[in-house]
Amino acid sequence: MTALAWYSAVGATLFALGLVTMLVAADRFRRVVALNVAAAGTLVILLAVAGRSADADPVLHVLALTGIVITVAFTGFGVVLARRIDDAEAAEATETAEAAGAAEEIDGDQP
Amino acid sequence: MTGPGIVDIAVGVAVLVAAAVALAVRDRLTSVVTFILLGGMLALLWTAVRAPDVALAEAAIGTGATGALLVDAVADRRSTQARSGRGRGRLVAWAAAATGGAGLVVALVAGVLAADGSGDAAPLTGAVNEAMSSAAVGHDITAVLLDFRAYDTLLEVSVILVAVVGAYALASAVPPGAAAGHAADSSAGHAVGSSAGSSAGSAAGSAARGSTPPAATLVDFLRVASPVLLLLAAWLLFAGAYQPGGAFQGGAMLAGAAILAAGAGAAPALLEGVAGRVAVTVGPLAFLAAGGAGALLAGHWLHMPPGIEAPATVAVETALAVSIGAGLATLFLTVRRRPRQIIGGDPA
Repeated sequence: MTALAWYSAVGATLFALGLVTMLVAADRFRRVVALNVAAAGTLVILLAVAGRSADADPVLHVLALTGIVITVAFTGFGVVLARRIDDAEAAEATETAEAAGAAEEIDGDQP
Repeated sequence: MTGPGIVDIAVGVAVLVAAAVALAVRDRLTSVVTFILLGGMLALLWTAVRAPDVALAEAAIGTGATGALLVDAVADRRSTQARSGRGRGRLVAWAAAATGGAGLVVALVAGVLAADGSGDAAPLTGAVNEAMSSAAVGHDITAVLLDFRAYDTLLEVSVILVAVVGAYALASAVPPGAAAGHAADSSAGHAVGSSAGSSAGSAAGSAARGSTPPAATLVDFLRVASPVLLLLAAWLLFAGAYQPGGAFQGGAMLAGAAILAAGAGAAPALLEGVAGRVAVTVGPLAFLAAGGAGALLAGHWLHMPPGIEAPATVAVETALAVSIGAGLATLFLTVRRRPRQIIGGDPA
């Protein structure tokens, strides 16, 4: 087994772990974290390929740098979006609870 | 090629364990903290595959900035929501996904090894080394970033800009009832934000925000650490011309200083109002200006203006570092739900 095979296996496992969790998990923040893990997996494969020759391939290093920056950008946006949806759901749940409470009060007045 | 050494195996196993724990634990904060640990392990892994630039960026951006974003987002709402009750259906979904994931791992590894064995995908190291004589900077990664593959870098900083604008718009869309007061605040805040100098402004900002006094230890630490952080950011930026470092790592260091300051209750006034917008956009604009000048003078779109390649590259890099720092810090402030603070000096 070569170093390339080992790091490809590590990267592919990271990518699959992240992808599966992102698709199946219910919690939105966990999905953001999972997407980050999957992104890290792609970078591990990319840099394993870059490091296979005697002089590491700078073009792939630059692609990895770009990937890291894009990842942090979508993480920030994703966290804001997840918070927003959580808040909207919480507000909806409160409204429903209040409506249910009001309905009960009306029911109580009637007899 | 030799087999994986003991360091390779140890780092790889540590990365896998950290990732599995980060994705498996229920508590959001534990998950995020483990994810930060994973970032540290990844930085080690990047050094093990001889990618020092990526290791620096991972430590500063992938771990530092992402960690700050995630921790701040989950710190005030630790508990995850109630799990859905359909235990059997979820179990089937997880089992199917795990099987598919295992197949994906095998396919990916086989694909990488087949591509390596076919010899079609030769490394570009030789091509880059040949072209280095025409580059304005001496470090190959910086040359690829700002010269050979400038389009990638331009679009990358544009992505940050779009993410900042999108997150900001999403967070500052206030509920209908509060809209009127928000508009008044922001117009008043503009005058304050644009007239206040940077250091005086942050002092005033911390005083105005003082309903909960920031931790004294953090403030003291910040007084000592922020000059060091700024110096380190500048060093990383200029070292990028001839050794690992550059605009992204330097910019992330700037963002780190700003995020620490925001944690201590004194978010830099430079990020507010018009100054903040200028800081976030100056990088892409400087890149476009230099690229346009190159198109006019050298006939190459995104070519640095001939004759002043080296100073133009350093100027564009500096502008990029400022924009990246301001963009990441603004994202952090937006996640903290303080869009008003970014528009103007109103305490949230």
